[in-house]
Amino acid sequence: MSAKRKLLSAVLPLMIAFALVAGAFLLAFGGVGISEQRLNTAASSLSELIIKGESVKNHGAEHPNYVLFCGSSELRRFDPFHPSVLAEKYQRWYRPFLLGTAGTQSMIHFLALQSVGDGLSGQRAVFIISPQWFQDEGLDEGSFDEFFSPIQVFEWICEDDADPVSRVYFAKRMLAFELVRQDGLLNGVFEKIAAGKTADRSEMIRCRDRLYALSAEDRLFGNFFAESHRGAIRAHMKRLPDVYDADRLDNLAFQIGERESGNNEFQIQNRYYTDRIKLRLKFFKGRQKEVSYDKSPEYGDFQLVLNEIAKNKMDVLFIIPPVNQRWAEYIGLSKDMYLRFEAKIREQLLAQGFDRILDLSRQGGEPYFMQDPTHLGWRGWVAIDRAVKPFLEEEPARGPEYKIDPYYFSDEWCGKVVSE
Amino acid sequence: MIFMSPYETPFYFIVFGIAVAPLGLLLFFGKKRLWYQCALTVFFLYMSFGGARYKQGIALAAYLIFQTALATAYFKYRQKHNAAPVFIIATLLAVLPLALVKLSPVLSESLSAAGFLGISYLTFRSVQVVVETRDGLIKEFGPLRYVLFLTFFPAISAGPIDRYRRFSGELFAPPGPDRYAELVGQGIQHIFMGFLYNYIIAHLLGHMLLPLVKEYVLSGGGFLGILYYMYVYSLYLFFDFAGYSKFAIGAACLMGYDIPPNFNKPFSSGNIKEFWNRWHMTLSFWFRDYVYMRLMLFFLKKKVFKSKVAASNLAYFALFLLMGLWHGITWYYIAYGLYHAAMICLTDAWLRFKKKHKDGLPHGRFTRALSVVITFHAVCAGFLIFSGFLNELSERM
Repeated sequence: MSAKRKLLSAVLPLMIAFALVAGAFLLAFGGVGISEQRLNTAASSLSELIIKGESVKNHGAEHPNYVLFCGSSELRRFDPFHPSVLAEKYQRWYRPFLLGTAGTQSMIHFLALQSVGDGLSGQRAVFIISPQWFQDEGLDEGSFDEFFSPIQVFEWICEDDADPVSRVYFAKRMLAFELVRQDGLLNGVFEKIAAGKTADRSEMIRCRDRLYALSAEDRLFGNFFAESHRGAIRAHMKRLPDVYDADRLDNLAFQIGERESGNNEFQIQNRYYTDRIKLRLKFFKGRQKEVSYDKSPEYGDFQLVLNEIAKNKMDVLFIIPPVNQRWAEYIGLSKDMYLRFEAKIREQLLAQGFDRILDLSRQGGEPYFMQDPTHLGWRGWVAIDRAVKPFLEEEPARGPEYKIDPYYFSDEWCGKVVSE
Repeated sequence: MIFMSPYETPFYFIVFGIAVAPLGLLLFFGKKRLWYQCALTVFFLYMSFGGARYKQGIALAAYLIFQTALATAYFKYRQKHNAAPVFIIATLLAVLPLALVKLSPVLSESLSAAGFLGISYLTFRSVQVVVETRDGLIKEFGPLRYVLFLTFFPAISAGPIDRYRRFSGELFAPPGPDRYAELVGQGIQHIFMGFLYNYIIAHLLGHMLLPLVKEYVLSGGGFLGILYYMYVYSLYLFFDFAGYSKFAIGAACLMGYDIPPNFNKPFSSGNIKEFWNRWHMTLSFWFRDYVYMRLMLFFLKKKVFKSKVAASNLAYFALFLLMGLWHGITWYYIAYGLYHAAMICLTDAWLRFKKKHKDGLPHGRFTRALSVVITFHAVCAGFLIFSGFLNELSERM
């Protein structure tokens, strides 16, 4: 073989590969649509690709028949009383679009929400706040790596419409994560923003280029999530009575809870108990004596979420779930500390006009309210539906008035211990 | 200007491709323009050590001046004399910057300012030049080629550790159109394997799976959890580093250099000795040639030990202790070094035993498979120590 042919046979496959990729990206500029059926699956998929991605999530958020249910691992606790099951069974006008899975804390929700943009304007949503997010270190490096979505971060940078306080706060928080610091471009941009300056023109051009490429990628592959819980939802629907009656549902939840949690004294679902606790029961005893939700950067991150909600004039029902009291006593989780958390988060909400709160914090001892140590289930879901149903079905949407106070970004607030 | 570490993002490869294309065309037509390679080196060093990392850039520049002066002076001295103390001082001076940086946690934090990404690998190269100068193997020496050797940017941050004489030969002799066309094919292949190893497999293992496993162990995953962590971490380490080496080798190929390989299916090794001939090869060969062999020679010449076995074992311990210390002044790196030293001495003992009892021991495909499995686990156990995870675990408990 001549040298020229050798070189050609080495380089040609590379060129063809580039051409194919470029072709695919060009194709994506037209946009790949998403069918109603696929959207329906996405709404209850919980795949991390949904919250990290753009086209599918934004489509759901803007769709008139979907309501965002933001939360974390509890969303995965499908049982007959899960919001997705109830909405489907009783043919409500809305379907929950579940956003979040284990590890999606305030920062991840903020990124996801801000990337929807105007589509959220005036929308209603439900937001479940997990007390466990508010530990000392807040969002940990591992969860951040898992849910970090460059496209959303670049969108934030390119949009550049945040108020000065949240702008600086967000940049500083981003710089706390290794993954961001490792990215030369992001590191440079956020260092400037954190110092109160703006990014260079050349940096902005590069950010826009990255956003452009990432958006094309998202349109191409955003639809590739694999997880589906449609089967589980349909199966759970069969166990519900045909006519909706909250009290009847509560009774049924009691019975099912009783039946499914018989093998332990904590009223934890049998399978969860056998798989995750039984063998290591002793390990957990008194394990969380030192755990505290008093001080955490999470309060500031949560303020980003509130900011975004206020900016879009959304009407949001906040849910403060309890912890499983029987279990909390066993692991030594302080009740006083938990109530201080509740008081603090309530203050942050109420002081700024977020007054639609379903506070379940004192119901952790109710029988069959929690499916496992920290997750709502059975009667807990029914209790949520008692607030969700009127909010979404009976009351008209309102245009709430919020009074955002940048104080809640401050270290002072994050580190403050609020008495109950 | 865009600042980034070597191979940090796919974008690096685009910049690299564009910058290296003219060099490639020249090479293909059988020409070599040294000035262009110099310009490329300056450009890529600036990209990796400029901007926010400018302090590292200054440290690198100071380091290069120091090492070049040292090597030049020693080379000149060696043409006329050959005193052992001068050689020892020259070697110690060559190691000094690295030693200061590595010892900074113990001595003084401010010493770490002398450090920069890749200082270890540059030191391995500079020590090698001093040693080979002493041996009289290096006959030609020039400051420019020495600096180009030290700063060969495809391999600057993590190897492979090339040899001066080999590199110097390629620096001045273009590969010719035929050979270069082959190198381009190999280079592209290496880089794309690197993408698979580093950007895909290592990313999945290290950034997606490992945090989950870690969480599982820390929340009480028990022995099985630790075992799980050990496997995931070991595979992650391999794919991350081997992928990185593939990038370096591939990039070097595109520039017309055939630098030595760093990994050769390490997990197919039948014993620890074989493992070190397949894992991070340029580093273990460096330690073999410049630490182990030197010590052995010294022990035997001075008759420190009667038995060759004792000499060899001690040399192994010295080698691996040094390697452990090089990774960092932390107990688990030192433990990692001692662990491998013990393993390799045991392996030697076993090999001697096997030689004596050739007929009594079964030998076949099954025993080979068994030895691969055992070696794999012994190696992974070493990586578990190396990972520092046991340290973290004991602190949390």
